[in-house]
This record gives sequence, C-alpha cells and structure tokens, in this order.
Amino acid sequence: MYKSNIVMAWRKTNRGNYIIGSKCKECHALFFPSRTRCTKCESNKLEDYIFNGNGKIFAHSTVFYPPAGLEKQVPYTVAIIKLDEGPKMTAQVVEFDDLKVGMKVQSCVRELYSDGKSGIIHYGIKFRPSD
Amino acid sequence: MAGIIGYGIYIPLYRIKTEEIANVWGRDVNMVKSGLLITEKSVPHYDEDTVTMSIEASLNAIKRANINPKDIGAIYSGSESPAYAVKPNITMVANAIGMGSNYTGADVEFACKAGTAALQMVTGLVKSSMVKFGLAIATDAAEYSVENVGDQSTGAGSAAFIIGNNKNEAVAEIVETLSYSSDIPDFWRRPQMHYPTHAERFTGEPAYFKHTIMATKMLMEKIGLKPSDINHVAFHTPNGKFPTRVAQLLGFTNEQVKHGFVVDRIGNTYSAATMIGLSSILDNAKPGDKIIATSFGSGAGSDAFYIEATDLIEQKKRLAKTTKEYLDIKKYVDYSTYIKYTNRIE
Ligand SMILES: [Zn+2]
Repeated sequence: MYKSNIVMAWRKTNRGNYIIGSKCKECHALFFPSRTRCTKCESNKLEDYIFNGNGKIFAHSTVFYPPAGLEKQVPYTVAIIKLDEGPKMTAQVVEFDDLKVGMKVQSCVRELYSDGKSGIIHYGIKFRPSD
Repeated sequence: MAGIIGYGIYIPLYRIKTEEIANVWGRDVNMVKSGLLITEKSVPHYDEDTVTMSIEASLNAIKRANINPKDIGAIYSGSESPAYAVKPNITMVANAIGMGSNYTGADVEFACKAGTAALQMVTGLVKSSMVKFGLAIATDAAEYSVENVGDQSTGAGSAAFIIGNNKNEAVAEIVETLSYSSDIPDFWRRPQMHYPTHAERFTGEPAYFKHTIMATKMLMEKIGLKPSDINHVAFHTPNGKFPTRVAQLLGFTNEQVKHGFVVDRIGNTYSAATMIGLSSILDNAKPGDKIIATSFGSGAGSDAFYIEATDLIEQKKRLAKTTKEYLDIKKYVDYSTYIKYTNRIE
C-alpha cells in the first residue's frame, strides 16, 4: 500500500483546493506550478495567483498500469490542460465520453487516493467537461 | 430575521436504473418499482464522497449568495456518511471554498434530518447575530450491503444553504421552524458496523409518519395557515411512497408536492433529501410563494420550516446550476460499474 507524507500533503492543500500558481509583479507573466523567479524577465517579485479553473485539453493519455494506490481507478485518464490564463497543468479527467484535444474542461475537487483504510484521504483537483 | 441568501445542490452525474439492480438479485421489477416509486438513483463516482459533493453544493450556494466566503462565520454539516468517523467534513469543505479560518462549526448526526438540524443551528446563530452568514450543508452517500433490498433506494447528493439576516439579499425568508422528536429504534448503525439495520415494525407509522405529521401540524398551527394556503411542500423521501402518503394525510395536493419530489429520479439522498427537495421548490418558486419543508430522521425527529420566497428569487435562481439541470444531465451505468464506482469491489 502506498503511504503518503502527511506533512507534505497538508502543505499542498492547506491553502484551499485552488489551482494556485504565481504571477510576476514586473512583467505579469503567469506560472504553474508556483515559481520564485520569473523565467521571462528574471524578476524575483512574484505573488500567488489563483487560476479560474477553466481550460482546454492539450494532450491526454489513459493509464492501464497504475502506480500503487490507484489500482482501483484503472482505466483512468490523465491530461495536460492548457488553462485559460495560459499555463499548463497535469491532472486526471473524469466524466467524459470521448475525450478530444481542444475540449473545454473545468476543475473540480475529487478524492485523489487514500492511504489505505486507516490513513488520510487526499483530495485535489481533477477536471471534467465544462457545463 | 433569517433568510436564505443562497442555496445550491449537487447530484452526481451517474445513475443506475431500478431494474438493473432488481434483475441481478432476482426481484420482481414491477413490485420494486411500485413499492418504492423510484425509477433510477444517483451513483457517486469512485472519487466522490460527502466532502466533494458538499464542496460542489456550497460553491453553487456561494454563486447565488454572491458573497465573499470569508464572511461566512459558521458552517454546520449534517450527514450519516461523513468521510471520516473522527475528523470533521466541515474543515475540508471550508478550506476548499475559501472560508479562511474565522469560523465555528461542527459535523452533526441525526440520521436523515442532520441536514435540517444544521440549518436550524445556523438560522439560530444568524438570528442572534453571532455570525453574519452561516452555511448549512446536508450531504450523504449512504450504503446498504449489496444484497439488501435497501440498496435499491440509496442515492447520493448534497444541498447547501447560506443564511443571513439581511432581507434585501434573501431569496426566501425562514419565517418559522420547529421540531418534534422522540426516542424510537426504527433505524440505526452501530459504530463498528459499515451498514445500517432497521426495525421493519417501527419504520412507517410510529416513526416517519408520526413525526412528519406532528411537526408539520404544529408548524401550521403556529403560523396559522391551512394546507390550501401553501404553494409548495417538501418532505423527507426515504422512497417515493412515504412522502406521497404523508402529503395526502396532511391534506396537500399533487400540485403542491410535485416540485419538491425528486426521489423518483435520484433515490433517497438521506440527510440531503429534504433540502434538495426544498432547493427544487426554490428553483420553481415565484415571489411571495409560501413553502413548507419537513424532514425526518430516524431515532427519531422531524424539523419543519415555513419559508416565504422574496422578489429576489427570480433573479438568483439563475445564478447557479438548477435542480432540473442536475436531474436531466446524467449517464447510466450498469450493475458492475455501479459496484466499482461505489468502491465495493474488495
Ligand atoms: Zn516577469
């Protein structure tokens, strides 16, 4: 059974289940995941930026041989999602029939996995087709 | 004054038809259908639980309330299927919807009336000005063991109500609420058991019917209204039959019942049932409509509410996904997928 690091998991979720990246205060470039230095203008003045959760499928792949802890979710689909604001992120996609590149998706909070029957439950971001 | 500033529900996308379950267990499909008045029920995906469904319903309620989640000072959640036995759902929900940390709250349990109990608690806190806004959540994804006929009716869903004391922001005013409770062993689950048990002898007359009727009658007497004065009613829906019968016994017509009656398409959503019914009514209400909602929880008790829709209802009902949209947008699963989605493959 996969066992996560509880402290690491808490650090990730304790700011809400938002898609939080960074915005450069100098040139306004957006990044996901968060960075401490801007790759466009090299400024180190960046602030948290909350993405609106909407995006499009950029690429996707279906997993049949999962890592430990995700055995019962097989087959599941992971996609690179191009967020409306520009940056890309990777997440599972649910509730689709026929997933296509370019399809509009929106984020939702789902259970990602749990540490067996006695451990903690990990919640996080997945995507589904937009309403 | 306490009013509903925003409300929202969530019903999972997936459904299973009554006959799909009945056929697997060799039950007479027509008998099951006519006995329960349920044609299909909602099925949570394997990664959905009472926390994720509460987040969805609460985000819909916030859209209608149009407030900063940080102004919500209390969050109470009623459920008999919380994510953990010990560790509250509410802190996970509050975190996810951006409430910050300045709030009080708790998970409460009273079988299928825990949600309306949360609604009463929040209403009290708002009326006494202890908090500016309060969030009451009802959420359940309850289960029976697969071979139990009870598994024909258990659905999944959530409802969330944001209560405030400014009439200019409210879609409806909670004019009056009261309860009727007594100690009766009609349905229970011991802590070490995964599935509930119920005493057939007590389920109907002395439990559901007695409490629902007493609470509703006491409420109507207190507000001085007759059944014919009311526009809409919602009752707890363990199946389709009980609320239909209780409405008849209390003197309500099908017309008054119809908007609050969604159990035939989603199954029994336990704590969430009465509040999803009430949300469906609000989606269909007109300014000035008089609404009664009475829950029932085994063990046992009923909370009755008298609510009046305001002028804002027309405008705010459109700000988030409606009950009808949740009912109409669906995907059917077969029995084996249902078992997989409800995490019952060992
Ligand atoms: Zn920059």
